[in-house]
Amino acid sequence: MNEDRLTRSMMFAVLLLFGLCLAGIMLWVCRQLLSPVITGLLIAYLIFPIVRGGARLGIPKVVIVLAIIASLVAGIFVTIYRFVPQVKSEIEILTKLSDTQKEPGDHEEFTSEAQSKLVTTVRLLHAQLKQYGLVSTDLQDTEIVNAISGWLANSTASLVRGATDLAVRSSQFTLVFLFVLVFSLLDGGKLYKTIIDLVPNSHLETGIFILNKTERILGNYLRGLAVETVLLFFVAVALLMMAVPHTKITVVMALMVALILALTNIVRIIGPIFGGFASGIIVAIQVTDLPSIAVVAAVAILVQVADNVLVLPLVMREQVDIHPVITMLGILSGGMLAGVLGMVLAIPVIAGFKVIYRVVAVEIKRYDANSAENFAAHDDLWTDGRHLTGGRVMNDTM
Amino acid sequence: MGKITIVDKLTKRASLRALRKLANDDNYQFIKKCHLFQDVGPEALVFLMENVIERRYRRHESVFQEGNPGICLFLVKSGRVEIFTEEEDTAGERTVLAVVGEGRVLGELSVLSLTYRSSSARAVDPGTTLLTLSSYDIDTLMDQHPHDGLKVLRGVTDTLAHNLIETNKRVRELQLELARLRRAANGATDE
Repeated sequence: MNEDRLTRSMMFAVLLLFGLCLAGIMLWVCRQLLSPVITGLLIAYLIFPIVRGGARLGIPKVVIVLAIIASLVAGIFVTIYRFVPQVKSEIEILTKLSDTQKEPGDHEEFTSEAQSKLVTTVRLLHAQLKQYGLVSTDLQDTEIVNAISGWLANSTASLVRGATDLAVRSSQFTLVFLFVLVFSLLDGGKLYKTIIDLVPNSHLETGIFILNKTERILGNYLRGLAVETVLLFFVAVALLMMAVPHTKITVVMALMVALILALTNIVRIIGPIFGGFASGIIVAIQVTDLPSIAVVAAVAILVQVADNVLVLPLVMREQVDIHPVITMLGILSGGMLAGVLGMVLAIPVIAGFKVIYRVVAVEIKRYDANSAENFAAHDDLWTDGRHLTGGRVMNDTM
Repeated sequence: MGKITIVDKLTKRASLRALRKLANDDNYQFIKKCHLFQDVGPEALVFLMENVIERRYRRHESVFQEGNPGICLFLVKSGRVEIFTEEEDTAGERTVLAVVGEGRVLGELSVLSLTYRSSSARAVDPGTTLLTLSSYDIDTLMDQHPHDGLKVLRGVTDTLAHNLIETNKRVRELQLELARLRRAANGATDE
């Protein structure tokens, strides 16, 4: 009997492994489609309670879904209407500015306020470095202008090149995203049952357990992420506001930097580094003041400390228990597969796989005659810390 | 009973409309007649219909196994299910504890408490059909419709109480049988 159960469990594990490999290959092949599909599923998951709530009140699902899609499409159109002309004019300015490289030293044409502020900041930084003996050579304004113009020329060229490609990709993304969103919202309840239908009878309870647990992890993660982002935004705002009277940082700038720090924190490890640098550059361009840049850097570090010491243990206890190396590998793989979205979702996906791995590990050990004791060793897995009753003295099936 | 709001009224009307559409659904007819859900309101019935999973089992196919954590409650829609212990007796056979038929409930304790399965279950007849509800569904039912959830729990405890009375009767019979056998054995020794 035990050998029979071992064979069955091994078969289950092998099939699961095969399935995971196949899913991995399919994900890689279809990675272009992955971002809109995941975004669609995720948005559907977040707004499905609205559809369900409306349906309970007797409003037809189609009407609710159409209303949601209409609002989304309207939102996209407003965004395009407001931001596309602005981006277009920015690209034109950048193209004009990058042309100054062709005539080095022609300061008359060097009219951009942002560019001149960048030059001043670089000059200030260079002076500081020279003062501490870290550099010895002098730096001419012309060299700085040439370096910045060259960088701008490259960036602008790639930006213009990518603009058309971006427009085509955005249209594809929007179409696939809306398609997935509509059908996920309409058939949200059926999706769960369809997945359960794929689980063999003998592993029905395990399948239901895994689905519920991973769904809960994903839900908790997304809710935790929202709470964490809002909390970090307010922490950053509070810290930056304290610096406003003593530095050149303005209130608007403080809000913008806080928003960048909070939003980039969504992508673990890599996000905060990028956010810190981006905030520093923005402040450098805007105010050209070393103490202000130092304050932003300090706030970025303090926000990270607050996040790791206070916020994360409070709002995401389940998700922080992942090794940093695994987190890093997961984020990089997620980025390769599905861009920024893949990076954001790397943690809940890893946590989900962790649950599956632990369940499979327990399943494999089931051939042991004392299987109840085997499960007892994994009580926290099945019950989230609640105590499981010893079933051998309680017949629940009579 | 709290004040009935417009939302409650709308929900009830929508639930009744949904149930009218399900009038010919055999799963709905079965759940409506099942003793666990006889007194629940239309909103809870709609919830149950949205979440119940139907599974068909081959002859001797495992429903659940002894020692595994119990997650689901099973309702026997058709066919029979045999409940047995994995430990074999001296004759090398499993002890069959009960054979559960149509309309009966299996694994009801998993709704009340997280337990390990104390015995295994398998389908006796080919094409045995079971309806499944997970303890997560019952938790959600308790959250969304506490009054109906309480009625379901009352049904579960009634079933357990009935089973306990039956078990006590059986234990008493076995004790009497054991005492009779002991007396007979003692009498034989005295002779």
